[in-house]
Amino acid sequence: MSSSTKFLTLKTNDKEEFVLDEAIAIRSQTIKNMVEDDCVSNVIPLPNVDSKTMIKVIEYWKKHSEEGISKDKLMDFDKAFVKVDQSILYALILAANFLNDAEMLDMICQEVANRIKGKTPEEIRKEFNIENDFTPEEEEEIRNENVWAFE
Amino acid sequence: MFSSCLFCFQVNKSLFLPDDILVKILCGLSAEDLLRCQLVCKKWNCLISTPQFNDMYLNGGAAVRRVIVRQYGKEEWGINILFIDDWYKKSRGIFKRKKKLRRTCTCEVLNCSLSDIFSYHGLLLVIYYGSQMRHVIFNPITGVQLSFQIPHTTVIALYYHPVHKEYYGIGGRYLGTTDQEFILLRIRSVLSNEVDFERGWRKLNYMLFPTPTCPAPIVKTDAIYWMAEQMHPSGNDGCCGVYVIVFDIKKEEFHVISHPGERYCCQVLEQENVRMDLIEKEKVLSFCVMTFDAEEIVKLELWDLEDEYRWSSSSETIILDTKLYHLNGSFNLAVRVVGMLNGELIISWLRRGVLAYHLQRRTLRVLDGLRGAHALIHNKTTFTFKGIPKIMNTPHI
Repeated sequence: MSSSTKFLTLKTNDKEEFVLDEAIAIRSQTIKNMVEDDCVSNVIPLPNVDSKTMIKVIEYWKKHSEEGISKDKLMDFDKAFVKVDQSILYALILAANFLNDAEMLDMICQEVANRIKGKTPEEIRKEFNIENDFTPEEEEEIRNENVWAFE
Repeated sequence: MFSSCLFCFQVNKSLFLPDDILVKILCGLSAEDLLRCQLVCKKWNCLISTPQFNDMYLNGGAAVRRVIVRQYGKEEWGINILFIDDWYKKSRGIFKRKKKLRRTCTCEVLNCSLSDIFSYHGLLLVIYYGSQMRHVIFNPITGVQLSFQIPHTTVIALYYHPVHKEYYGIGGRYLGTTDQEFILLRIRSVLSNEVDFERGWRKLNYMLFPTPTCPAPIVKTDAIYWMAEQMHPSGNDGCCGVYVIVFDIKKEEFHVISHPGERYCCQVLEQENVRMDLIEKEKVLSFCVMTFDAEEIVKLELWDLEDEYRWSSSSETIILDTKLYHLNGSFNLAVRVVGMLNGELIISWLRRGVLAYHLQRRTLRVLDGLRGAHALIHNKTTFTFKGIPKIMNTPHI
């Protein structure tokens, strides 16, 4: 590492501080914009991210910033990375959205999509903790429009 | 005790995924899954039913699924689009492949040769030549179709304008025997059945029309690439009669770029059967020269487009002995590379089947269930066209 390596301090909403190489932290477009606009003093507050989630995000950033890491290894890492509880996955989505890391957001959204695949509406509701607000008639109407999908 | 409370709190929080993220997630699903998702709750149903979602979905690309298009009817003509569900089911510890055919929508067109169906940006463009030429733009996900005709004009390509956020088409027509003109059509939302002309006709100095034997145009974000063939190649002047044409979407200009096949085919045109195709290979445009002989040895050479106008200097060569794969039907020359899907080159062979060659594993397989006539890749899916009539009847209008 050259002597010019700059470090940034990120502070999550539960008051935890993370010191991170600037080159890694600017994977977040939000942080990058702040750095470029020179509005970074000492500590960057991240009001929408908790420390538990931030640890995961930093783990992802560090892995994806490793020099000379092969595509296959990254894919394996990503696969393992998203094998987490639904609630952590949501926290990661919100964090990636706030930090504006498109690559990470895409990857996690695809994982959520994969968890929806092949499930019945009832199974999806259960997984996502969603209440069915259709009347039986409305439900029947949509069903009739797309009969083939429910065979 | 504490941890379970924390968990509850987070589950509740999960309900508040912003709409734009939910849309992003739903865009990663197949059409079949989407239709099921419409039943989850009113909010999801609303999100999925908007035209904006449809736009995003079509442009963002769906999860991979296979689709078969079948032409039907003698008196009545149309296309059935069938989705094949392809999934694995675990039973007694063994994964078994399951398949199910599901009909989704029908596009009614009078009569057309299925080789005049092209796929652009998730939409199907069907051109049919009757006493009057007609164009049908069909959206296989919503089932909406838009039909229009412009006298003596063929729509060469459809694209989605990255700045205007609207669909456009390039129309071309001949003036006399050599001159050509083009016009830009604004397809005002494929859902509202409106076509506008964007400015007037503009003149062109060269060949624009793709011929039926040329592959469908490839639409990238800022340019469209396609091949055009000169009707009467002027002999031995070092020109093979095939051009690669680029349309710059933002500048609205056409260019002809040189291609690796120029030098190559002059040498081999005499002895062998040569086909040239443009394909999209993992976001890179590739020029593919295919030569094959009666021994059924197929040789593929691929060059990648490195910048806007230059091809890579070295090519990737693949030699396939297709005899080993016991293809149905007799040997014929109607074979073409249609593109890439999940790391595999998809090769469509008329009346013989669809082959998939894995570029990294270097393996060839025959895609079963796809023994159609023509295959094309549509929005990360494979289409095959079946049941093409041997003789085309004149349509009844």
